[in-house]
Amino acid sequence: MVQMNQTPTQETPRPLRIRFRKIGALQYISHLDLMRTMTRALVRAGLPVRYTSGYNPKPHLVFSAPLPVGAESTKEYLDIAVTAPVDLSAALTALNRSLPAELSADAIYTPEWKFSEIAYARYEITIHTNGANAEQAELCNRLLHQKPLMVRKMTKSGERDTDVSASVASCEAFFREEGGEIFLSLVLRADGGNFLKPDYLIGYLKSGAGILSGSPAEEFCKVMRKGFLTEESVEFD
Amino acid sequence: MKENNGRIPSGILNRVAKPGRYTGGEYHQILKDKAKVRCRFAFVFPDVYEIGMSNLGVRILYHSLNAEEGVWCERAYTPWPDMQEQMRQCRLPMTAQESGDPLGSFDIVGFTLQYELCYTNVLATLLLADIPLRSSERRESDPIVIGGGPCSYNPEPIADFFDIFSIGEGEEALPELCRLYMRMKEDGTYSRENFLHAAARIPGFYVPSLYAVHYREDGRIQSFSRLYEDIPDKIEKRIIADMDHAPYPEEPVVPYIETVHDRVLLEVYRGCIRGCRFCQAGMVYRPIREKSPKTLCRQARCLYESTGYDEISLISLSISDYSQLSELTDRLLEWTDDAHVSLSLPSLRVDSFTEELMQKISTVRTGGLTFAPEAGTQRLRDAINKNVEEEDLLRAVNIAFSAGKSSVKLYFMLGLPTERYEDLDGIAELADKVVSAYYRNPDRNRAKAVTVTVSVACFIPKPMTPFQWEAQNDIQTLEKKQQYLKEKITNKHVRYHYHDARVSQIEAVFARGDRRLAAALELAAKEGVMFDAWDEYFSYERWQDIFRRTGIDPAFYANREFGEDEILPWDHIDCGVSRGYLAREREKAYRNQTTPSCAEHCNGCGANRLGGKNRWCK
Repeated sequence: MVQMNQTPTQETPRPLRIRFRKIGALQYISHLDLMRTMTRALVRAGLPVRYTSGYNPKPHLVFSAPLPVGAESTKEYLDIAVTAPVDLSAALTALNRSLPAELSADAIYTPEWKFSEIAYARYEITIHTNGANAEQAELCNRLLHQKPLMVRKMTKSGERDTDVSASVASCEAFFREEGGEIFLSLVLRADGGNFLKPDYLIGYLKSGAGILSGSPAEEFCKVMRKGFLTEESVEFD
Repeated sequence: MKENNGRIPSGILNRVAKPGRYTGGEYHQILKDKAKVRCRFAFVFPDVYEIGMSNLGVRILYHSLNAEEGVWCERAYTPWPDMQEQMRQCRLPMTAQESGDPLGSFDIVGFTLQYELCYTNVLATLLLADIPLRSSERRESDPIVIGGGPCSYNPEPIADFFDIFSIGEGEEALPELCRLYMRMKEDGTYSRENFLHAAARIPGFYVPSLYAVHYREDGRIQSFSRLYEDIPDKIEKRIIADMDHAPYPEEPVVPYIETVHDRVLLEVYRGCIRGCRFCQAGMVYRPIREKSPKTLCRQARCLYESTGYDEISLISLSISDYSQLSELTDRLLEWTDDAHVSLSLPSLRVDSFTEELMQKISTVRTGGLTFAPEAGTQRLRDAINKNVEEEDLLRAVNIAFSAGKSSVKLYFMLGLPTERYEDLDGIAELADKVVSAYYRNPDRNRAKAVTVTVSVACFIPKPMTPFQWEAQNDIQTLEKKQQYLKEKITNKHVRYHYHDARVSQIEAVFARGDRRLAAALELAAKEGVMFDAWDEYFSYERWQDIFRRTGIDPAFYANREFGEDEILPWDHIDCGVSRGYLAREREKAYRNQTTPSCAEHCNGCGANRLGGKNRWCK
């Protein structure tokens, strides 16, 4: 724990953004688990984090769009505020000492953009399915380009088929010889009220292209979020 | 295909609930270089991850084993049934959390035995690990299976499944056992047989296969004898002499997923000065050994900094009996409030619940309040030596009500020895008195109605207590009493909960059972019985069926009064408290006579002969 200046000051808290990854074993913890873990890591790192006011004060944390359990990401964002001056590179070192490697932070900086500017998320998905080949990848490609694109969504009132084609900004599926896998590159809507989980498209391909129907010990699908884009398709940071 | 952390395939993790239970990689987990490790120890908590990760004993022993050079201790938890299903379908073995290596490849597999209802989980875990269930069936290449924890004070029902039991506190004993293992492996004297014999000569280790039991025709024990002259007749428990210098994990593993006790657990002292006659913990953890406020403050600060937790729980059997509680809380509060850390005192007695504590301790201020009068009348409270008076309870609830609380929870036990129906009337009356106390309290929260929750457990006679010989009420009697009380509780402000009498009977069977129960447990495990501590998995009908098929009469163990001249299944285990003391305490119960706490004077329980640096014993 680095001892930083923790004496409360009257200064306005300074907003900071942490860019971190959530990969490997850490992909299996939920959003609530992530919040708890980050809170503790910030405390361990000794950062002078601003707390919420009220009866039960907690460090004030704001995350960008949640990542589904079972998906990895190389670019996740967490906004905090500090109540005392901090040296950013020392803070990054301290934070990384307090975080597991699979949740490590890549940068701490003063944010320029707002989370509300996020419009899309980029995903890379590799599907390891028995007998994967170019034709199967092509079938996936065709299915993803269909309009309407009807996927089965779970809603409060049960399962419902919904057209999500408007939420798929771009998609491409092809076969990768070296891994013997089907590779999907997707850009999906990711703004507040209009967030498309990639799981829905995988479920759709499962039933449409017959992929991932074998033993779960052998077949799997790896979802990696690669960052966000703004409405103008500029890389968010 | 290898991916993820090279262990459980992600295709499976994506199909089970809470996959974070199985992926490991927690902050502060201990990894070692396998090339330098000579003894690999898998420490299993035979229940689901969220429960196991909360256990203080595991945290302590994980730390003390890993402090030993050449030893690598890893953790494992019984997978939830959905995961077990996947593992069986995909033929995945049970693995340890840190390395992901199969349990069967470890040198030693240890189980902590916290409650009797986990026994089927122990066996389910061994089956998943492909380790033969019975000690007698294990080959040279199989791990040594060792058990410890509260249930090892009567390990007989599971004795056939364990190679060794560690009796008492394991911080020093388990590393010692590992040293013996490494030494024998190195000098070539190791064989399963040689090792077990040598282990039985180390104080605090019980090797069941080296002792023979014979039974009379009526089912009681005829004799219990050792097979070798050089092993003890009675296995005396181990204790840590000096708590201030005992190993304590200052960097505990911090879980990602939410666990039951997801906070700093600061152990304040061991043992209990009270001596409630139904309570096993109060007897088997004697003698009382305290840590100094200085040690505790240092450990608290260290634990906070290494974990980032926002709550520190002060752990003991009865926190208000800690002789320096005021000094400890004052010193902790010097920094905890500013660091946004709250203190919690989970084991408050009504007679020590003060206004000062209420104001000082934020979790007492904000959380729910629970008190345990245990019995409804003074007569019965005296008989069980609870040493709490009605006035104490009313005073305590009034402090709480004045501070704005409008609900309180009261714990009782039903079916206690010497209980009469008027004692049950007493429970209903006491709850009524708490309700009226609220409405008579001028400072109460006038916007809210009061809620008094009465939670009633069934008495289970436990080994090593003054009530160890007592019969448990049979299920019909317990259920009749539960219904009687239900009718007596008419106050609309009182909520009434009670435990399933059938679960309590099964607990009593395994609490006081002998080695013949192994047949039932083995059959149960092979038929997929597990997670008995979970309502959704417990089935009394299935247990009845299993007992019938294995020729076991559950009433013989649960509902029979054991004779004071009888050899008890656990007589060869010595927890320090003498059998004579327990018998005297039982006699006093019949005379409704209380015994003062150890703080008042020494009652001669015998535990002080174990030594230890302690405050109260002579």
